[in-house]
Amino acid sequence: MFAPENGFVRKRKTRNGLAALTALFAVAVAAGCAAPVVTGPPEAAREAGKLMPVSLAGSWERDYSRDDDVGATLQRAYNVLAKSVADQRIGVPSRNGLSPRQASALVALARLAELITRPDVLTVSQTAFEISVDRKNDFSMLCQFYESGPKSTASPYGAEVCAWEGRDLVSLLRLPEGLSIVHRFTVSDDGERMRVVTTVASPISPVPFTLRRFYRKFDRLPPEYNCIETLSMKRVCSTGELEL
Amino acid sequence: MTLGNVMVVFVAAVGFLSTAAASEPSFERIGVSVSVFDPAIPPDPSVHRDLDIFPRIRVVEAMLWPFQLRRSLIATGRFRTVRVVPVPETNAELSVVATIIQSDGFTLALRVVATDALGRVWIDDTFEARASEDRVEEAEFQAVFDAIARELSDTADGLDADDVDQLVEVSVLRYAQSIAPRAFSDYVDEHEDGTVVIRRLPARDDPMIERVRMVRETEFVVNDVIDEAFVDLYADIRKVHDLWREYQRRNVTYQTENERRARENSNDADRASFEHLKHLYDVYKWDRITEQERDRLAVAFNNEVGPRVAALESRIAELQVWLDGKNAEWNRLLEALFDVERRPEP
Repeated sequence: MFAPENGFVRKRKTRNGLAALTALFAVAVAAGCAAPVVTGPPEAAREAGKLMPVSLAGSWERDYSRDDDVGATLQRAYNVLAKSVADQRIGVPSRNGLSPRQASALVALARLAELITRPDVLTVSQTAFEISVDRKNDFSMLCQFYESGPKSTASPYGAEVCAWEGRDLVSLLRLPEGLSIVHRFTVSDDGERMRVVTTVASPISPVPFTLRRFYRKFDRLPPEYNCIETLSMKRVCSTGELEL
Repeated sequence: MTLGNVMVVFVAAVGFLSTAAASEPSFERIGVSVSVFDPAIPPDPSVHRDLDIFPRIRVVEAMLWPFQLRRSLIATGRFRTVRVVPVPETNAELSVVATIIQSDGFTLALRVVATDALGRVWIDDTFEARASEDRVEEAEFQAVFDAIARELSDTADGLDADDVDQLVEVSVLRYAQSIAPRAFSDYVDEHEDGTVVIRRLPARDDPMIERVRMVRETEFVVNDVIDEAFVDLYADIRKVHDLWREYQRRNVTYQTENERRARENSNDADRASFEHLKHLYDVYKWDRITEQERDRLAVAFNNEVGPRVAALESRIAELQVWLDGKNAEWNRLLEALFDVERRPEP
């Protein structure tokens, strides 16, 4: 068990982790973005040599009682932005000192963060090289770690790469127009709770938007039937041992 | 296709082939051994996704494609036998080995090397075919295998009776050398370039060569059992493999849809709007979901086909162990007989 503000006070490290991931992406950009393989520097590879310092495997359900309130978080972000704007004396002042466009951009980031973090169950599978986080109505986040270091999953529409920072798994998704989404997964020492901090950032907003979601591990009931996916017969189930 | 220059030195004036065999049409006396293809899976697992290689499926394809080649070779009517074997046979009259360069449901590219028992290279080339984009058809890459078979058949047609005699003789001698090395060590030599030279031939009624023939016939029987197991596997999983290729095509359709989705929308939307950000996220999301669906289908393919392939591999391993044991025994017996027969009579 951990207390939210005790077990997770690693803000400095968080920034370092993001910087490391950003550097990883910079390497990829320097090497040409078309290249799908993003391999970190030797230090990062050695760090990844530990490959999987923590197991995230299992089923995780949302602990709504501990989640950030989106409205309150947005208000805080507004305040930060307003202070920043006031300090810099830029833009056309409006309500709270923000321009309508800045306010609208921040709301857009908040709505996207809320949308992305909406799934109430995360199912994490973990092998020697990969971690896959399955989410309902969304794609499965994929983290790949090989001997050569972390490896990105890239497409013409974006790229994901992960890194371990201590016991935290950090995933960075880069999308066009500078939109980025970072998820930081932290599992409690007893392995029963998990915190996911999601940060959405874009050049359209001077400040990013960060939302925390909390999860509890749960055991799925053993299935009544043994089922297996096949190509020709689709899903095949049996009460006994499956034989194809 | 090239046929290397082969120096053949006949010490014995008369070959050891039976009259019956020698009277057959030349090309019909050549047996072809097609080994399971090399799946060419990079050892580094981190590159598999980038190269679109699903390792287990590639291994299955390496077992399936030789059957389409076999079908084409049999259809030429130019060869005595066409067997599919687990590993390349260097002493086969004609040995065909192939490496899968690309196999993604749309394109099949193979590097093919066919070498005869004399070490002459009949084919060393890359063959490639692209399937129809509309639908999966049975044996749609047959053109690749037909082209390979045609080239081998044309080469076989160009051989005269003496060429074929040498081929069959050296094949037996190389086999004999492998099973009884001391007895047959000075019959054939292999050059650095892989070509083989016959130094001497056994007498027509040489009892040792007759024993070797008998052993080889037994090995052929075992090979036929293995070949039959491959045939059964092919019949079993070909339809599942066709389904896999069908899904591969659908995947391409989904990718086209993703591209369209990426192009549309959003140009009119305010770039600072939630709708625009969501559009950027969704485009990536659908692309990833498409990829993940393909991964899921690959797992489904493995689930269905894996146990059958494992059973076949286990059966082949059993036969191979049995054959290796027998070969060791035959080797011991033949060498002992060789010692007895060359001992001067008292």
